[in-house]
Amino acid sequence: MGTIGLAPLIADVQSGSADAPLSPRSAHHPAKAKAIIHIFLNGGPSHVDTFDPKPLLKRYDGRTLPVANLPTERATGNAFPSPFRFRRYGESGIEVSDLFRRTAESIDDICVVRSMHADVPNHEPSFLLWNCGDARLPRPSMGSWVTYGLGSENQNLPGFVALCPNGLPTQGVENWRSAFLPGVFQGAHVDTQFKEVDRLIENIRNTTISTARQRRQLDFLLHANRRHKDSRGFAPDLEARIQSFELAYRMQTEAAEAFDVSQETKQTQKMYGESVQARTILTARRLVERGVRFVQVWYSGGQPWDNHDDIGIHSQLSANIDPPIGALLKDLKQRGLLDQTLVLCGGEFGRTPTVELPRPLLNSGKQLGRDHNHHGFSVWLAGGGIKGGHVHGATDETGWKAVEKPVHVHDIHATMLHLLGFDHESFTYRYAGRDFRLTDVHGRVVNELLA
Amino acid sequence: MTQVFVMFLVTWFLPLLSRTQAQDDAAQHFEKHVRPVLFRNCVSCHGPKKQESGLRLDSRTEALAGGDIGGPVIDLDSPANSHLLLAVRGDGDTTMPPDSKLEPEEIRAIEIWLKAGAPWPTDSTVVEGPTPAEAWKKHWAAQPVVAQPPPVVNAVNHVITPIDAFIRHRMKSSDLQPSPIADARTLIRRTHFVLTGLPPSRQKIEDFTLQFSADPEQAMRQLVDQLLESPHYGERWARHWLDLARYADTKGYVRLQEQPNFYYAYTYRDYVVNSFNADLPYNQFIREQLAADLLLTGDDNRSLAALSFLTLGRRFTGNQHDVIDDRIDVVTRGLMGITATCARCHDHKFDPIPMDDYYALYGVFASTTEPSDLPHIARGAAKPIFRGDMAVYRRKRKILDDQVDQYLPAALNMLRADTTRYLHGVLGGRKEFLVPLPAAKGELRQTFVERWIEYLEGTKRGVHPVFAAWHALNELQEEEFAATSRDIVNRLSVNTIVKDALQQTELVSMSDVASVYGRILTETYQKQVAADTSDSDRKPPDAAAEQQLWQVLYGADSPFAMSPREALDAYLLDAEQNRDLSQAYLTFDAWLVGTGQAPDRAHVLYDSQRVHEPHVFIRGNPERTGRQVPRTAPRLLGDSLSAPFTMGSGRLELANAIVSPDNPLTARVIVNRVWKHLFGTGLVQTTSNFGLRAAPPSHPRLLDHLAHQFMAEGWSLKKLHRRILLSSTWQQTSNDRPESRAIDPENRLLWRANRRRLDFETLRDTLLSVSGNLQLALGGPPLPLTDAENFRRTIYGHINRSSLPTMLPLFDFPSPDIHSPSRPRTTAPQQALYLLNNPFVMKRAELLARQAGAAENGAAATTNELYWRALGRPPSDSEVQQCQQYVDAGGQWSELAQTLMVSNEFLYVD
Repeated sequence: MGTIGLAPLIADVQSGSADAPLSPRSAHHPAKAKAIIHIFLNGGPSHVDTFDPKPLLKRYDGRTLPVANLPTERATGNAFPSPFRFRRYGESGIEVSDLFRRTAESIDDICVVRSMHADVPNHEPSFLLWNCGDARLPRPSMGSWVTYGLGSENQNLPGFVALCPNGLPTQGVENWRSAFLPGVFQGAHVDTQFKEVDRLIENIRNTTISTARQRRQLDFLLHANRRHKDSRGFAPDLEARIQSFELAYRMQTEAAEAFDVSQETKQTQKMYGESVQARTILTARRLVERGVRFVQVWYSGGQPWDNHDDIGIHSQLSANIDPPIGALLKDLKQRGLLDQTLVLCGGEFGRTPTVELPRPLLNSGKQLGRDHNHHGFSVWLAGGGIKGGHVHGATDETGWKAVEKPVHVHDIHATMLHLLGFDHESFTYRYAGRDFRLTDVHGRVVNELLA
Repeated sequence: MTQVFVMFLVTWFLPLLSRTQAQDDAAQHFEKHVRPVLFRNCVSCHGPKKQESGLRLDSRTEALAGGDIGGPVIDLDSPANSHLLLAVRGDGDTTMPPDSKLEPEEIRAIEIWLKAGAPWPTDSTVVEGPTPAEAWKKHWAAQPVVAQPPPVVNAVNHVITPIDAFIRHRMKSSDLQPSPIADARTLIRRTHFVLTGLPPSRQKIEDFTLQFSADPEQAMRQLVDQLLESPHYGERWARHWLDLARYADTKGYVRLQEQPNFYYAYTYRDYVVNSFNADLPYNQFIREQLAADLLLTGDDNRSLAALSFLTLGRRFTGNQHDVIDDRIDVVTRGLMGITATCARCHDHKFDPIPMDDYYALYGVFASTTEPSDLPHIARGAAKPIFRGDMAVYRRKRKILDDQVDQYLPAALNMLRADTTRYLHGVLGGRKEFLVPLPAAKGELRQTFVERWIEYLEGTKRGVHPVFAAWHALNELQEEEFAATSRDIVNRLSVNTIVKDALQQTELVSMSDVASVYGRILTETYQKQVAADTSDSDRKPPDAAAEQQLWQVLYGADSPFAMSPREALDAYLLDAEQNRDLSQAYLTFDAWLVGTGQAPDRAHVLYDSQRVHEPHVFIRGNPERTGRQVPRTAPRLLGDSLSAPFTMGSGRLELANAIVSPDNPLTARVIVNRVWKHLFGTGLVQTTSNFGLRAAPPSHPRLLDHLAHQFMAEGWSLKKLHRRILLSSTWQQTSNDRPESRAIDPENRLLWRANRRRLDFETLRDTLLSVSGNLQLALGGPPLPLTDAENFRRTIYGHINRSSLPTMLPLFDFPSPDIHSPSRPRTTAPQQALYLLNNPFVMKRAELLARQAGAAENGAAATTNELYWRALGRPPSDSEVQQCQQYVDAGGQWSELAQTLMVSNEFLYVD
């Protein structure tokens, strides 16, 4: 049982010898996907209002459901039918609500998993479960695992980028931490509310020395470092550091260019839209196109999809992110990138099919929202070896609980790792006397999702 | 398949056939028709990988032993009633497999097999290896630490210390030769960086070079002594310890109104710095970090800060089980190199650490509490309260206290008056997915229901005067309740008021019992209200029975005895009040710390009033309690060190077991850590794992020699440093020697010194030092590392778990969320970007150029100064020339200064 191809890497990382930690590597078996875009609709979008239509709720509108309400974070009451209309899309005829009508235009490339379930109805542990495979303990994030395992195709950009406009999401930087993996694999957070490259990436530009002069400076440095190294004989660590300055120099131009969405054609910019989410998703495409391994797109800081008081807010949120997601799928396809880019979109859990009962200080007096629901919810995947136009699993008639072919978060992780070329059970890292995995002791590859 | 059944049935029931023949057939039947069924349907959840409900169905012994919950699943006396059979038929409490049903013939096959006595032939070729406990007895790290005389080796041209003798002896058997002693400049730089994390000044280098040429041994001795006396030694080595102690100034992610800061974490950091500087014996250092509160003598309580070793971990949004897990981890891996937290969910797979041992430690930490008002720490009887204007302090404090007085007693009384409802709530049990949330007036607080549950669990031990009847009745099954409850009550000797009331009521279910208890306790409460005394004058009633009831509501271990902060975090106050009072606390704390005149405090923990008697949580799930275990040190330490604890939580006993000279781990672990920091790698490479799976030490006898001497010399770290640093082994050159590298590429046998890279702290401190900015003041509250005017040493930087400045992880600063045994060493272009473009570095370069006299001196003099300051040596002629050319071509001296500051020569220590 081994960590194929990975043992030498970590020895290199730890001894600081020749290979850069992000140099590209291959995993256990040939990969279908080379890159991942994970769109995280943080806060918990409602499945019964987006990808999982439940006509039964209309029948019981305002009345008690025939099944008991399941335990969630807060008390909920009677059936609450979706105020949004569902329509069929594509050849597959999969139903999607108007909240994601632009996304739905690519439904034949999408696999909707309607039988997701997670462990608890609380944001914090569920964020960590999705992002790090464990609800509580300090474990590395999925992006760190993937860049640790595969490196990155572009040495002039970070291998794992977390794009989150307007500050940090709930649980902050823990969502993209490297934990016990080396710090170089942790996600680089980019706050996409800014446009200027200096504000997007730290230290990307020197504000006092021109590029030409910096080149002279680097030549001097190179000379000094070479002389230093030559008198010391075999020293791969010294050589690696010499190289890192040359990489850094190139990165300055390349990164600035990668994050500059104004270089896109007017048509492309228009297709994605005007919102900050549109700029973020367009940036994600530019990064993946340039070989960045793992890009995470957060809707925004905090947990905006957490609509306890008024599910109607979902339509304001989707108005910002549905058009760019729709554009992304088409754009990736046009550019021939969809085949090798795995897109995952969803929140940490879904929401209750019943209305949330108001609590003091928490619901601004409204009774139009839904509580968290981890018993059943939907996410979707596309590209990178995923079966398009497919619905996997189902919740019960009310939308409370995943009943048909249930898929756990760990299973999605296992499946994603599989598409990247990993056997999730042997992709391990030795720490504290034990081999750790993204999927811990859980997870199975859901073959039905694969093309 | 049916045919085979028939044949088998025939053979089994035919009396003519011999018994052995029948057994063979039964075994065959098992192999053909039962084992495959179990394997396909059961073993994935009840096998070697997973043991749902603690049940394994992959061997007869395991299957007969049964699970944690249902007990045995095979009943050999009454095979038809075996739980296994009932479950697959769907006739029992549980139906298995959970998501499919076995075929009728499969069920039938299991039935036949059970009736045949469940034969289960074992594969005779499988040979079990030694159990972890057996293997541990022979494990190197489990052997007693005994004196190891150094081997005899021939010294040629080298000083031979006992350390060198061990190293040479080992080297000889691999045909390796040591490297020569390094030159004076290399040695002084190396020694300075390793002991203080700061570069030597030009003056010091020149003085040392002179002394070294006269008498190298004497020069090194003086240098080492001098640096060990420097207060900066403590700063450097404290940082190593803080990595292990997962130190931070904040709690990590917190919810809503919780205080996110550990405002006084710095007092722990300073305690560690001072302890290293004072060479506090390491055994005492550990005792204080686990139990300083139990060791106080005289009027100096500053050592209380040591307890933050336990308290400063992440807070996991209030999940106590995770908080305790983190504490167990830092104590076991940090101090003894054993990985005990594996045993939270199952027995350790490799080491002899059963779940019992984990929960033995769980019980220790579950028996502690943290006060809301942290104690002041100082020397002297009178502890300072506030160094600023006391009038202002009193005014602010009064606003807070008034609010507490206004809200908290009323909220608690509301809960006391509501006892009946809460006791009924107790019968409903704990609630899944409980998250404390703001609650409306009069709403049942599930958080308080669970507090009651916890309290009642604590009253199970012995015969509780008030609640013994509750527990006895709670044991009854529903159907027998009405019939037997009266007998039980009559037989019990409990509180007379309780007994009378129970006898006078018809008890049909526990609900009736809850009503009786509720009524009596509410009456007790009402009497207290009628007495109308203030909180401070409250006295227990005289009559014993009344007094016992009163204790339940007002006693020190009552569910109502809690600090304001606890009440707020559980949302026991009505929503608005809860919010306002939480805010008042946050405001007050922020104000107090913001004045800079708050006296030092410590994030302590104390023993709880009531000791927690731990139970194993089945598969780590606190909802499923298994057997009770005593609080002890891990039993792999041997019987003499793992007797059940008797003093309170047992923290002091645990500390004493850890630092006992009979503990085979503690001294070895710390000696190896010191070695690692001095040489770059440990004799044992996995510095926090000395378990069975750890690679053995490169020099086992040397490790033991050092560990033994360390204990014999009073656990003195400074003496240990001295012995190692004065060895020839440590003082070798780091130059490559291809022929030796071919034999030992990793330099495990230490045929040369390892070239080392400055870590982030040393890099930043050195940048500040060579540019003349470094402020060397010791101790005190932290400053943000992103503050351009922060010129203090990096160890004094503010460490925010939720938002580390990006350069820290970039330069391999470890996650403060977990115990970190060692830092990786990565080389990444983002590090170069920081050094090339960050304003902090640019500013240092500009100042270095200015210090070197770039404005007033000629090129040669400036170059000379630059090289001395940045690299601790004069420039060569060609370097002078190149600098001259660079400047002549329009380059700036500050640009040159920067190249020196980011060069490999600057960053690496030979």
